[in-house]
Amino acid sequence: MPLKVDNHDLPYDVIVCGAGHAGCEAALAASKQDAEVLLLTGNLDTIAQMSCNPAIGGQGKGQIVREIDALGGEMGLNTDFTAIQFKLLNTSKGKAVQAPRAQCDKKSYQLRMKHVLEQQSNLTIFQAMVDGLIVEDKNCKGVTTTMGLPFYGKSIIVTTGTFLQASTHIGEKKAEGGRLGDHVSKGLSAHFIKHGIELKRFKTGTPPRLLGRTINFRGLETQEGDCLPTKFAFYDSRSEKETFHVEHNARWSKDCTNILGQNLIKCFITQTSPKSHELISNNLHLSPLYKGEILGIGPRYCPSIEDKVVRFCSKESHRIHLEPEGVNCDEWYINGLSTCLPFHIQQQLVQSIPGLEKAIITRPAYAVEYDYAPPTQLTPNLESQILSNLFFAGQINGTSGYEEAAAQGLIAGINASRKALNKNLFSIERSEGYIGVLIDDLTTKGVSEPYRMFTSRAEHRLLFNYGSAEFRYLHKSLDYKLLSQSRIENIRKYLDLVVHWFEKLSKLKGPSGKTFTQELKSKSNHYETLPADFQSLPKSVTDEVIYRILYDGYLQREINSAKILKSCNGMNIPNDFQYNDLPGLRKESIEKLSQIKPTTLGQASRISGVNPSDITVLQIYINRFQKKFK
Amino acid sequence: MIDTIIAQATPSGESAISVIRVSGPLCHKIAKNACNYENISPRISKLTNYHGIDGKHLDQVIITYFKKGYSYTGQDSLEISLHGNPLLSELVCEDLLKRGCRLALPGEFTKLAFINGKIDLSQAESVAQIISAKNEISLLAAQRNLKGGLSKILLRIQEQILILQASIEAHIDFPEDDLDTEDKTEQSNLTNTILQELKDLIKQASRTHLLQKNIRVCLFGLPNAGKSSLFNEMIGKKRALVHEKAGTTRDYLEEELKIGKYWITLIDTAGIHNTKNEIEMLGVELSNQQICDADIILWVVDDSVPYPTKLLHKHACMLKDKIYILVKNKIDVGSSQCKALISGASIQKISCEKKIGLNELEDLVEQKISQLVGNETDNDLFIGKRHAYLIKQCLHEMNEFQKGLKKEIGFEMITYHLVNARDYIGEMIGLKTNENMLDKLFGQFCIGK
Repeated sequence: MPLKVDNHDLPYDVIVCGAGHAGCEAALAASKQDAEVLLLTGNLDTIAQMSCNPAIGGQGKGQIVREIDALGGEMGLNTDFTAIQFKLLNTSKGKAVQAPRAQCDKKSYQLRMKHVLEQQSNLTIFQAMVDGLIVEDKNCKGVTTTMGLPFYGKSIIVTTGTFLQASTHIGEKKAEGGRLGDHVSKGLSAHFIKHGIELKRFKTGTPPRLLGRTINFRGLETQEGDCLPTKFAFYDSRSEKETFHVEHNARWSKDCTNILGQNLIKCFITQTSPKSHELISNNLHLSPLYKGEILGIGPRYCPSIEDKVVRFCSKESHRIHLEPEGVNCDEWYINGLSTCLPFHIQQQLVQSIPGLEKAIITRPAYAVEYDYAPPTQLTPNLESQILSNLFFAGQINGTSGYEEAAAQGLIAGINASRKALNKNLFSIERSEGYIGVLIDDLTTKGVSEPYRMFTSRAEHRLLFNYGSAEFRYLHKSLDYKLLSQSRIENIRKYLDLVVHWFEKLSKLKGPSGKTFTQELKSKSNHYETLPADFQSLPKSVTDEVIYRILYDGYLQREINSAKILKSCNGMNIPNDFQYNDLPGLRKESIEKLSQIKPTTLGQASRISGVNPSDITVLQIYINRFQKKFK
Repeated sequence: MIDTIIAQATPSGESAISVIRVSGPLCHKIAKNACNYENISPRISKLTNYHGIDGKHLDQVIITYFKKGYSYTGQDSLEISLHGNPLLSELVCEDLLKRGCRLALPGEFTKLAFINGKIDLSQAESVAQIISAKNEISLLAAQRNLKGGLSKILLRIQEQILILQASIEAHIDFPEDDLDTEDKTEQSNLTNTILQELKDLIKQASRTHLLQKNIRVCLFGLPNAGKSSLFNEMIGKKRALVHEKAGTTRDYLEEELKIGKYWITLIDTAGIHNTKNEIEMLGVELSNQQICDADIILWVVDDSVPYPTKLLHKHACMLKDKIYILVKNKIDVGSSQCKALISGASIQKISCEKKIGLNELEDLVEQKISQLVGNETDNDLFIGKRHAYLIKQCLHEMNEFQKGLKKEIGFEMITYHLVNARDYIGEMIGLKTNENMLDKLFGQFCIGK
């Protein structure tokens, strides 16, 4: 379909504003739901850019990428195809809390994702800066752009990341922009406020990049990847056509079958010196963080180096990881050295670190301050409660991290298209996976710092092992047609096998005379003695069977408590339910409930400041309300 | 997965009967297992015996069953009528908890009644108000109780649980960060500290828990002072053998009776004296034990004969730290032979034979009890029924956590015990969330790879 500008007939089902990690997943998910999609970005060359560290995954996040893949998203494949080092984290601990992570080639990641978008049918990408919303009767109907061209659509998804009213800080130098050297989105903030959408400010930061040839790697501790990579996408259930969907279709049809599983690079570890700490202490007054110039709240799990030195002054040194940004460039990401000290101090700071004495900074460290829209203004489908047909995903919702953004993009994309096509909306519960926890946390509890996933946020993390995402979401991908028919059939077949072999191994006797299950549990069994026909099954099946055997009792307990959580969610709260002046409800609760508008009683009970007696009272009124309108 | 909830329906304290209400799916099981009442038919009261889960007989009860749909709450319900003794209701409630029930929340029966359509819709508002009011009252009561020592201890325990959880979560969620190596001994030490605090609390709770058990009033004195006569007079029936021969009472006897508004256990003991008779010696030993455990002592003396000087000093010493009343018996026979027995002691002159001074004695005992109970209420560590229950649950979770720790089960498998323990304490002093744990985590560990 040629570009449809200024067409009031809402030619697009979905318009996505922004092509970061959230925007890409949103656009792909929407077009896969058969919606006609337009993706607008201020710059086609920064699609899916990794603005901070050149890595995907990690604890909590790696599991999210697996879930994205299980729900038909692209992030898993894109990471696998552009990774240059794989590492499974927490291998010293149980499988339940292990997570895959990969260093990626930053440019390849972007290029491949861009090509995926280019190849996707029903999807148009276009370079234009969105600067306003077109709203009629609290309905969002389109966007305006700085080119002066308006675009109309049935659903709008905003994935503008850190670009709203963004300013970057390096020491006292303040500049406009959502990323160093990039533009800022100004008009949108004013439009949001005009239409009653609240905005607040967050801050985040990124470390300097160094030129590799000026780093002295000799003597530094190395960090190598795993020989057997743990991938992010599920391959057992995919056909080759689905695995290499963009590679096969590419015009030059390159043979990329051997790209997978690369372990091309090493990372290095060094640490700050007493000199670094002295330097920081002496120059704290130059940091805008300490001068009160940055008002936005930053993430505690990702503090600047000056924060670390001040808050943990007894620690003599802090660890610094050196990570390459790709194989076709020599820029290195200095993980752990995020700062907004002035540039000349940054230079001295870098040079005070062993191995970096002569290092040249290619890009300075900086902090960025930006507007976000508190996500309690959204429904669990990520639609705005204030303007209908307007969806939000990614960092604009106060999150941080590529994976968290992509997950939201996927959910917003599915829902925006389903809404445009008059289909029922899609949501995930807390008891189903990390994405459910993520979205429930955002829309129910809100954020007080840039939100990042931790496994401790999930009540049932033992059920959320990275290997089980496809099985967990099978009923969803089936009901909402998120995956190809053949993949769904494979997953179903494998799930049956998992159940079958879980039973079978508890009856079959192993070499020691005990059952295989008993042997596995007592760790006396090494996998090679397991029956040959079991070992020949796909890895996703055998892994899951062994996982379920090892954690049997614990998983059963989690399943039961997840059921309770789900049944607590049970009672739905009507959309138009009014909390004002309900006798017996405390004022604080009325305010919170009216603002967040929970959709179920379970969600209401998780709102901070709403106590159990309020829930009891609420339950009574909802009952009355429902009986009245039956 | 519906809970079975219980609550005492009649006000706590003494009364002719007290009723415990049970609502939920466990009713049939309870009727069958505790009351030996199978195939229970609705709305028919049955006289039966209530046996604890350990098989011990607790009380003769009248049990009435209300079928699902035809009860106050709309669920299967039982009403168990007991003899009106707070101790008994306490025991039966505890037994029901052991059988899988839980204590009802304020207003929960009424709430169920509404939800199951047993109450008119127009009553909804008043129900809501009752719930929120009751909740406020119980919250206020809890806060009053928690002022001072107990809340400080609970806060400390909660804090320690959070720190323990944070130290575990840090190593799970930040495997690549520059944390100190995971120190299992430190975590196990912290667990022990928490366990010890909880155990101390429970110990203190039961010791200071006077309102929920009977006050123990113990008779004490030389042989033939008339202790058993007084015992019989006070309980109003001839329970103890009385004989003019000294040393008739060798065992001790207990009876429950009401003095003023308090239920007491009155204990008759063998006279304290030096004896070579083995059986009598055993009796004396038992007496000493009873006196130790007693809350109030009635020191009965025969006022018609002088008290042996040697023993006087010794006995006064024995009772030094006790609350006691010096009861001068047989005043109809002799006159104030023990006049200057102990200075400053509360004294009551009586005659069991001629029934003189007995009412005055009871008044004096009541006065002593109210002093005692009053003092205990002011005590920081008064712990109500619900609190004691929550502390025990918390202890249970921490014990389970420790077991896992000893078996070296992965931390991710057992942290839920900590979360449960945290929530039980939270129900008393305010819930803490994962966010509070993260506060501790980021305060304690330098995160930020």
